[in-house]
Formats: sequence, C-alpha cells, structure tokens
Amino acid sequence: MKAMILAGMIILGLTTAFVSVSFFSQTVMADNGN
Amino acid sequence: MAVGALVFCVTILLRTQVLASQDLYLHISIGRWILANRAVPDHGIFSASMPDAPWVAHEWLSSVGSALLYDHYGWGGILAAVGLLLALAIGALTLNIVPTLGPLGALFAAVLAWGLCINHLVARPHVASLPLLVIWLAAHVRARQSNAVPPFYLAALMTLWANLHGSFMFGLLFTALFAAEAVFESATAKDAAAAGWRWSAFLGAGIVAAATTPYGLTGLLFPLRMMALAPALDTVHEWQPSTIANNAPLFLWSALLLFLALWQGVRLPLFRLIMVMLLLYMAFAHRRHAELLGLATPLLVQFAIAGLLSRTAPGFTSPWAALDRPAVKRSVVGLALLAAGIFAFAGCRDVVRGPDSYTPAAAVAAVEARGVHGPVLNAQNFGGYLVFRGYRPFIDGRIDLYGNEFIARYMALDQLTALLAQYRVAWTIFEPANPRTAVMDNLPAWSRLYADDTAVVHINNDIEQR
Repeated sequence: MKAMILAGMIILGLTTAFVSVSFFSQTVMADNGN
Repeated sequence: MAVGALVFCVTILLRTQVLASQDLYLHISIGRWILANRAVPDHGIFSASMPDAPWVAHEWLSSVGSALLYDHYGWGGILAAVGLLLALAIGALTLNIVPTLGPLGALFAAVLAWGLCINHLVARPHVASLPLLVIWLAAHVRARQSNAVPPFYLAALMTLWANLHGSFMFGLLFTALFAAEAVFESATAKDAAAAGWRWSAFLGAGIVAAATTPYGLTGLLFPLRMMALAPALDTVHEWQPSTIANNAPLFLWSALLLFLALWQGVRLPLFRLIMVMLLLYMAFAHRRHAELLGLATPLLVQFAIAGLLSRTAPGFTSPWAALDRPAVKRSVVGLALLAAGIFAFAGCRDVVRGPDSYTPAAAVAAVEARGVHGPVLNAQNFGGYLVFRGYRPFIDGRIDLYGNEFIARYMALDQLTALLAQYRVAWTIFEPANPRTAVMDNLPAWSRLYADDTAVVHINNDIEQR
C-alpha cells in the first residue's frame, strides 16, 4: 500500500511537471536561427 | 469530441505562437504563385541569389491551402485550420485509445501527446500531417491486431500526405516496420511468406501513392535528399538536438514512461520496442520530432499496456458508467461544439498578426519611404516577410534551395563584406542582436536608416548618392 501511494505521488508529480512545462512555460521552436 | 474541442480552443488562445513563423509568409506567397501560374515551381522563385537553381515545392498543397485560407479569411482562417488539424490529431488518438485503455487511459495519452506537440505548434505544413500520421498508424496497429494488412484505400491517404508534407516518409518507414513485424511474428514459414507478400503489396501501393505528386520520383526522394543537408539544418532551431533547456517536456515524458514501465514491468513485442526506440532516437536527435513520439507511442503500446492493466488493475479500463449514458454523451458533445464554435467565432475574427520577430513591418516601411532600391542582404528570419511584401530576398527559410555551401558562406561573418560587394547589395536588414548588425555599423560606406526592436536597416551610401 505504501509503495502504491508513493508511486502514485511520483506519477502525479511527473505528470504535473510535464503539463506545466509543456503548456505554461513553452520554449517554442523558431523557424530558423542564426 | 470533447478532447478535440478543448485542443481547438486552446490553440486559438495560442494565436501569437501559432502565427509566429517566417515560413508561413513564404508558403502563402508560394501558394499564390502556384494558383496564379496554374503550375508548381521547379526553380528558386522569389530568390535574388538563386533564382535559377532547381527547387521543388514539395509541400505545394499546404502552400496552396495557406494562400487560399489567408486570402479568404485572413490570419484567423490559418489559426482556425491549425486548431482544427491538431484537434483532429489528438481527437483521433483519443478515439483510438478509448476501446483499449478506457476513458482515463485515453485522456492520459491525449495529454501526453498534446504536451509534446505544443512546442512545435506553428502554422506550417507539418501540422497538416499530424492527423494523417495518427490515422495511418492506428490503421496499421488495428490491422496487425487482426493479423491482416491495412485496407488498400488507406494508400490514398499517402497521396494526400506526400503532397502536404515531407513526413510521409515516416509513414512508409512504419509500414515497412509493421511488415517486418508481421513476418517476424508469423508462426510458420508459410504464414511468414504470405504475410510478406500481403504487406509488400500494401507497401508498394503506399510508395506508388506517395509518388503521385507533381514532382513524381523527385518528390518521393525529397526527404532522403534533406538528410544530405544536415550541416545546413543544424542552423535551424527545430532541427537541433533536444536538451533539457530547449525540450524539457520530452525529458519529463521519458521519465514518466520509464517510471511506469520499470515499476510495473511493461513488456513490448520486439518490433514495437524497435519502433518506440526509433521514435525516441528521432525525438532526441531533432527536437521537432517529439510530436511524432507523442502521437505514435500510445498507439504502438496500447495493447501491451491493456494486457498489463487487466492483470494489475482490472477496473481501470472499464468505461465510467455515469459517463456512458446517451444523455450525458449528447450533453458533453453539445457543450464541446458550443465552446469550439464560440472560440472559432470570437477568437478567429479580425486576427491581426504580430508584431513578432519575423515581421519587420516598420523597417520595410522605412525602406519604402526612403525609396531605397536594389538588392538586399537580409537575416534569414526576414526572408519570408520580404517575399510576402514583394521583395526578392538574398536568403529565406528554404534550406533545400540554398544548400550547405551557400548557407555556410552566408553564416560566416568574415564573408559579409565579400557578399556585399559580390551581390552589389544596396541595403541590409538584420535583427538588432545579430552580429552582422554590429559589423554593418562599423563599415565606412554604410549608415543606419532605421532601427527598432525587431530589425535594423543599413543602406549603402554610395548607391544612395547615385
């Protein structure tokens, strides 16, 4: 049970981090750069 | 439907990002040229430095679509089309995952795929290929599940894909990998031979369909020619390798998938694992390919995950009873369509583009006001806008037109004065932070005509005096 709760928290944390970096702090790819 | 509508609405909100592209200006101009000439170009149209060099508009259908949308509906039309295409891709992915992984699993897959697409969500032809990729791969996965080949009419999709965007080659590559999987997983040599024949026939139909473009074999081989342009592509942000700074979502996506797989022990059939590894390599080698990884992986691994869930969490994939009633479904779809309609109406009307770093509008206006004529040496990022405004740029986003040697010379700062002399340049336009701007400031025969946060224009004093 303890392992399930810890794993659940890690998955939730990683998912939240993924959503926040992809949707809220975007590093948009420019067409070109030089 | 609801997921698709949400994707559409968020895309409309991201309008500044979606429209900030120099290639979009170029595509609109190329599309107008094709419509006006009733032909596709075979040389470097619009270019001042390479007007006669061979060049194929391999994404000609996307260019024509961009031109028609812009000329009839303005920037709002382009924005709505990008929203719709991404909504179709994520919506089709969700629909394909729901039967195997249930609503929660499908939603998880949709969010993960969407997150990997969003950093490359710019109004350019690759967006048109995203729904095609999902439909193509989903049909392959379904066909393999029932030990058949995809229906042959699916090959028609390949014709559309090949005329829209160069990523059609990935579609063919995956057909070949699925064919290898079918042969590899056959129980007997006879089954393997039969599977080999059937899949080869489908692959053959796909290749013929992909060659059905105005450029025929040249168009078919175009993606392979692009690989030879690797040195020039290294100068383009989207082709650079992924790092934690420029593509953090990819690293978190990988960490999440690794955690889930290693914790629960997901086992993939060998060829599926090869496909996922290939996609992972592509995403880390070129940051733009993260979107392919995001959209393809859920389709490829769904049955392996479903098998695992049926052992470890049997209730996970069963549909939520409360959501499964027709009245609830109708209400959700109605609300989703209503929201998308409101966003389309309010968010896509009278959209004004810019100011962005690809649109030196005030600088070009200053050049016009001063009556400067003659060849321009421009920042590559301004090439699209110059074409859009009727100028012939020195260079633009068409790496495939200019090639490694020309781009290397253009990029070399010590070649700047030689280029100015060789091409009898009358004016230059570069970004304020571009090192060439500082060099231009120190050249005796040149003076600043205009400067703002987007662009700095220098004019040749000798040419001005004439």
